[in-house]
Amino acid sequence: MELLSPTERTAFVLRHQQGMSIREIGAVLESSDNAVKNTIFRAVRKLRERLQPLATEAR
Amino acid sequence: MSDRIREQVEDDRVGLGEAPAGHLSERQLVLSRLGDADDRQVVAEHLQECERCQERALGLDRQLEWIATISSEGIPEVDVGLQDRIWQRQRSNLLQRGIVARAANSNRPGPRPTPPLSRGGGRGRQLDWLRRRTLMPLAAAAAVVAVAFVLGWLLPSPIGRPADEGGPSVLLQTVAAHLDRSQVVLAELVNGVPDKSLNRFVDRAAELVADNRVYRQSARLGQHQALEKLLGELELVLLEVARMPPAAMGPSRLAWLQQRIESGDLLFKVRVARAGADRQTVGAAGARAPTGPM
Repeated sequence: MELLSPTERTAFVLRHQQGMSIREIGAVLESSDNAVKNTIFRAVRKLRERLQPLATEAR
Repeated sequence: MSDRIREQVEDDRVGLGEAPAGHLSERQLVLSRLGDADDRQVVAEHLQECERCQERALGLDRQLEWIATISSEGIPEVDVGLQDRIWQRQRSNLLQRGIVARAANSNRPGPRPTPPLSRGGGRGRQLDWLRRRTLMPLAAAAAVVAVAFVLGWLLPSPIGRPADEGGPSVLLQTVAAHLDRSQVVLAELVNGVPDKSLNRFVDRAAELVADNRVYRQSARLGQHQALEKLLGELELVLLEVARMPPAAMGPSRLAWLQQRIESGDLLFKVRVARAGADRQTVGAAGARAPTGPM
C-alpha cells in the first residue's frame, strides 16, 4: 500500500474496505466518477505490478 | 506538483490499460472484477465469448485476492476483547470498593445492627435493622448498577455472555463513529482552501479532542497499543486545530496542517482503522447469536 499515492490509497480503501460507492468517494475526493474509477484502477494496477513477482513465485 | 496533476500526467503517459485488439482493456477488466465497470453488459458478453479474456479475468481474480489479503495486513485492528478486559478491571475495582464501603460502615462507632429478636427491641428497631439489612445491599447494588450504566455507553456488558465471545459492542461502534467524524474533519482540512469558513473546524476539533481522550484512555486501559497510538496522533492534530485562534487559520497555517496530516498518513490510518472497526463489528455480529442488549 505504501507505493500508492495518498489519493490512490484513499480511493482504494474507501471503495474496498469501507464499501463506499464511487459517487461517495467522488464527493470526498472532489473528483468525478470517472476520475475515481481511474484512480482505483491505477491503484490496483500498481499493486498488481508489485505482486506480479510474488504471484509468479507462488505458482 | 500536486497528486492530482501528477496522476493526470501519469494517466496520459501510461494510458489506462489499452485493449489488445479485439479484447477487453485492462481497465475494463479490473473495474468489472471490482464491480465498477462502466459497460457491464459489454464486458459480460465479451467474457462469455472470449477465452483469452476469461483467462485474464481468472488471473486477475487471483491477484485481487492477494491484494485484498495483503492490503488488510498492518491495519490497526480494534480489539473486541478490549471492552471485556476493561469491564473485568472496572468490575473488580467496583466490587473492591463495595467491600471497602461496607467494611467502613460496619466499623463506624455506634450500635451495631443485630437481629431484633436477640435484642428484644420494639417494632421501630426491627424496622430500622430491617431497613439497614435490606437497603444497604440494595444501595450498594444500585450504586454498582448506576456506575455500570454510566460505563455501559462505553462498555458492553459481559453479563449473560461467554467471556471469550466478542460481540458487536457499543464501544466499537462509538469508536467507529468517532473515527467517522474525525476523518470528515481531516478530509475537509486536507482538501480545504483558506477562507473564513475554515474557522468552523475549531469548534468541531475541540469536541473531537474531548471524545478522543476518552477513547484513547480506554485503549490504554485495554493495552491496545495500536489504537492508542493512532488516537494519540489524531489528538495532536485535533489539538492544533482546536487551539487555533480563528484569525490564525490562514493559508500558511492551513498548508502546515495539511502537510502534517499528509506526512503522517493520518487520514489514511484513520480510514483504515475505521474500516477495521467495521469489519470487527460485522464479523462479531455474524459470529454471535442474536441476544438482547446487556
